[in-house]
Amino acid sequence: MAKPYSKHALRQVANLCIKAARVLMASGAETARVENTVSYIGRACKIPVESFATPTGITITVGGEKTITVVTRVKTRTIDLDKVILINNISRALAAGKIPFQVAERRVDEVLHQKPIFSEWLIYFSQAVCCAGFALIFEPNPRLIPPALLVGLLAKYVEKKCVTLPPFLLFFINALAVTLFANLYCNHIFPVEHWALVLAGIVPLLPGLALTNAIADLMAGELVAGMARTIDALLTGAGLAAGAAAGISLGQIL
Amino acid sequence: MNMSAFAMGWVGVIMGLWGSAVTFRIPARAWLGCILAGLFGWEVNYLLIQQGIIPLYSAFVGAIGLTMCSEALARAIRMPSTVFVVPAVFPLVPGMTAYNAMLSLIQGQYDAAMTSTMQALLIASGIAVGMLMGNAICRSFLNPSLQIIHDSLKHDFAISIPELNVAPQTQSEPRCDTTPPTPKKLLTRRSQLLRERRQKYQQLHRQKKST
Repeated sequence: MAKPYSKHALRQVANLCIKAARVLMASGAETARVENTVSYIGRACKIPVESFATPTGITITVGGEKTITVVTRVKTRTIDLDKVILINNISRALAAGKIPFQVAERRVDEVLHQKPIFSEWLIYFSQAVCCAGFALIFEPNPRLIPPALLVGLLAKYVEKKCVTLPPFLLFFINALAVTLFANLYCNHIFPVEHWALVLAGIVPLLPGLALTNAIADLMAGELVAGMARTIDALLTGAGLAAGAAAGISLGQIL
Repeated sequence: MNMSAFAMGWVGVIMGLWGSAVTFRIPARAWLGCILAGLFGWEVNYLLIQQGIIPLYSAFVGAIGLTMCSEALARAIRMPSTVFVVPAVFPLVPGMTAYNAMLSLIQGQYDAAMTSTMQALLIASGIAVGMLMGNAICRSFLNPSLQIIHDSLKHDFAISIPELNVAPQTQSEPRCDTTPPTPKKLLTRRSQLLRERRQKYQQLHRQKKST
């Protein structure tokens, strides 16, 4: 019979697992990566660990005969791939025996409390540059660059202001604002390609990460999480499409 | 081929990829990788369309190329491949078709709208299937993971059904338990006494049980 693990050890391992899994899920990692990370941590500590992760909640059971089960809800999901990379590296290093358990715990805490790697201004600037780039892809006309930069700033501003709204409504309002701005610019300020401007504003908002994660999850056999993420991506896309349609028809009326 | 439009496309792709990489909080050492993967996928897509191949196939092949490129980069830079795939997909998005679909839908031209919608959906699913294929190809060729799968199966099996696990298991003490954290509060004399007494009774109880 295997020797039972001490309750303290189980609690420590469960704590680390749930922290790492929660950070990963909240910053946009695929489900398979979350479960792999948890099992890596368990393997490194030589304690059997089972986990079940979905985009909205994570359950982790630690221990052989006497077990501890921890459940956490993931309510806000943002995109922060830097944290995913950091946590991933920590768990790999722990599994390879490069760092001891206490160091891993400390590093996960550091990741949990670290400041965002890019400042707010850089994010605004990058969104503007991104929109300008997509405008050039859709229509190679350098006169599109200034309005596309403005569209990017507008989209980011609306996203920051409406972050508490449900995602569908947020993307609806965002697409509506972008389309109305494009209409205003084309009709009253400078005539450029309306469709390229609208697309430049909307394409960076498309749920690329959600769709990529959905595909990765379905590939890994995570049916529940994969379907949930697909629905998430579809909802976001539907919101964007509805917003753009409303904006275009409003523009035709005005 | 119009050369200035081509150069403008390159500039646009680089700007768009850098911008979306920063928006997704991808650290600076992966920016070059994102731009490379995205340019590769977009270039394949663009050249195939120039050759007169329909957008569905060109998007499919572009997505395969992009995914394989980013899997290779992920192994070179040691980062998750999602980091490179996510910004790199954006230039392939069938934006113009989707816009046309919406416009026709608003104007009440339902057959044109259906055609465009179908086309956009097909291109999007072509990209998705291409990413799937690229992923599967890379997973099966780039890392010979049979041993890893075997090990993980053994590991999982040992967890779920311990009685069936015939092989002798050497479970050592967990590494995290070697240095227990120091107690925060020193025990008072009374609680120390109580604890000692409790331990003594427990010991007695255990002895009684065993005999």
